[in-house]
Amino acid sequence: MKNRIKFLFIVLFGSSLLFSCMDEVKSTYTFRTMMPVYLEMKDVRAQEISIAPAQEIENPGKIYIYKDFLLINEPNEGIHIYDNKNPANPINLSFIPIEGNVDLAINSDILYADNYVDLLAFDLSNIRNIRLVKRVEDVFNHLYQHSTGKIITFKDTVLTSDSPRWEYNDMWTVRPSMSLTSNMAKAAQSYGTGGSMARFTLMDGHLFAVDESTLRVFNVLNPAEPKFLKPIELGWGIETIFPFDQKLFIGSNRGMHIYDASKPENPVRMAVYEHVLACDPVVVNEDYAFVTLRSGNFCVNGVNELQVIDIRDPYQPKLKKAYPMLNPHGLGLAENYLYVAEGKHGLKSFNVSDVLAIDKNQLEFLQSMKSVDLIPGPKSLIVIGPDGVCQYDYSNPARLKKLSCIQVSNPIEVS
Amino acid sequence: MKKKFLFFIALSFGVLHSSMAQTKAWMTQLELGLLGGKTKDLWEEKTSTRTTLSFTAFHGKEVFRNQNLGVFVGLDDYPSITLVPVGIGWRGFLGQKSKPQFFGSLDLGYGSTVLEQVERTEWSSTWHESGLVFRPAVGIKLPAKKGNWALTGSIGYKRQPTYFHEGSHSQAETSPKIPLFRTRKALPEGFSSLNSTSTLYHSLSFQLGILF
Repeated sequence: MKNRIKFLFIVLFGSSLLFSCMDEVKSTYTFRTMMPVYLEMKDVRAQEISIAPAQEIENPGKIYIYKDFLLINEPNEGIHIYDNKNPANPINLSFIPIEGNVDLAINSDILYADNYVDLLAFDLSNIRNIRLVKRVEDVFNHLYQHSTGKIITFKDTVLTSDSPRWEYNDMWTVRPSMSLTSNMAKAAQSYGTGGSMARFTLMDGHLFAVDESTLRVFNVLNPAEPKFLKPIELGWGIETIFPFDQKLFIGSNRGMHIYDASKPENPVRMAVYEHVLACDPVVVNEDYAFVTLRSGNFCVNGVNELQVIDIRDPYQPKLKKAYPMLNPHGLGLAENYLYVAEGKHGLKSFNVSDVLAIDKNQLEFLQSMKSVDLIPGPKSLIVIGPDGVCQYDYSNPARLKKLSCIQVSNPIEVS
Repeated sequence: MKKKFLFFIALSFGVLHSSMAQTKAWMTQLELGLLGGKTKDLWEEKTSTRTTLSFTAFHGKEVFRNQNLGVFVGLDDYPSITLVPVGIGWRGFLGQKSKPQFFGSLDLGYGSTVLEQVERTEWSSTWHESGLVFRPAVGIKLPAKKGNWALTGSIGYKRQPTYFHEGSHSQAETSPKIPLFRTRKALPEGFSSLNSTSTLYHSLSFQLGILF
């Protein structure tokens, strides 16, 4: 018996030394990035735009309220149209598929929407029969890649590479954390600001569109016949545009530009209020501009505050007072009430009739209401956050009441 | 690690022994041995051998003459990960029980990573994942002259995939959920990038055990 065990042990141990099994070791790097997509505009223009049935929102972009309708952009895909007669029950009506669309504005039943480098005008007078009435070509031409004459756009893509380098199909992509485009597109996908494409606003028969560096002016006095007038260079980092009292307040990540638009065809710079690098949406009333500065993804300064800027002399804007905030994103002003989306921290409402004591006049702080942007509408306060696009009754600013939420399949991540 | 290994062996032995029905139809096999293989460095063109400890406890019932089906639990201590394989097994013997017998065995299951920790920082998370474990083997059973027990020795092959993931969070200061199986989605929700190293261990297994 002992010999047998000894023999068995020797045989088996001997065999085990003859290892011929080789492990298979493989390393992969999977990352989210923005893949360049090259398009010929003639192909884009050749596609007929026909109104599609209602579709679920995947990722809400810019939101626009017009009459009883709520229009929600799906970045780069098109525009969802909701019947919002009853904010407690918005009804999804239809979807306008528009490639490369990130912004919209409506003037006298004419909807303006960007389609990569073109501006489109749709007639909304019959919401059941929306028609494309005009295409203004080659106006947002910063999207052209000049060496090829093609347009270049970026698509959010997940790639897996077998090597830690980020080379893919003869071209280089970048890690998303280092990608400027990614950060901008992320912001654009979130709430219509910070995108690399246009942002729209209307004032005095003119449509103003800003991209990250340029203000473009369109004459829309005849709404169905938009005419491109001129581009105005603003400098880099432009994020938001807010029209008020024949002035344009343009928020950039370095400060706020004030333009005199009393002659809307030719806006003239009045002043630039500069501060440290930050992300800063702007809202304005007669005397003051309210600006939020926040730290975050692309806004790297570490400042989180609400600044009140005295603009009674628009040529010499002055900081009136700054209030510390938690992580303010978008903000909205309705009469004397200011609403601030505090990101993951919630939503705050303030009475701002005394701009020197805003902190003492906080009306409500809803910590459960994570939010990145809001729009005070005629019927409801629209709040965009991880729950989707939600509407609140804000007839009592100190006690917001939830009316409804439009669910989205790819909700915003709130930092 | 040694303490953990010994504790686990003792625990498995206790559990199996106490649950074992004292009838001839039931059998328990405890095996301790080595897993050996060659591993290639991912970055350098050089190979090295690895030899690690492996333990398996099988508990089964004789469903046909000399054919036993049952469950197994084990512990495999690979260089960069410790796995707890669990699954179903088969043991088939040739010849009379009172004499030395050749036997074949097959274990099929999943390598649990229950002993591995998820590590998180503000910016990233690291975790392990495993997959299907498969071990066919052949061996000899040497019955004791007295008592209803035997010594076994076996040689076999063990296949065991493992994955090590290091994911960067999309947002700092968040703790995205770690998916049970990463392959379901290329990039799990809440992560902006993922470095994954997969190692498919092909091992020669050499085990000595007791059977009762």
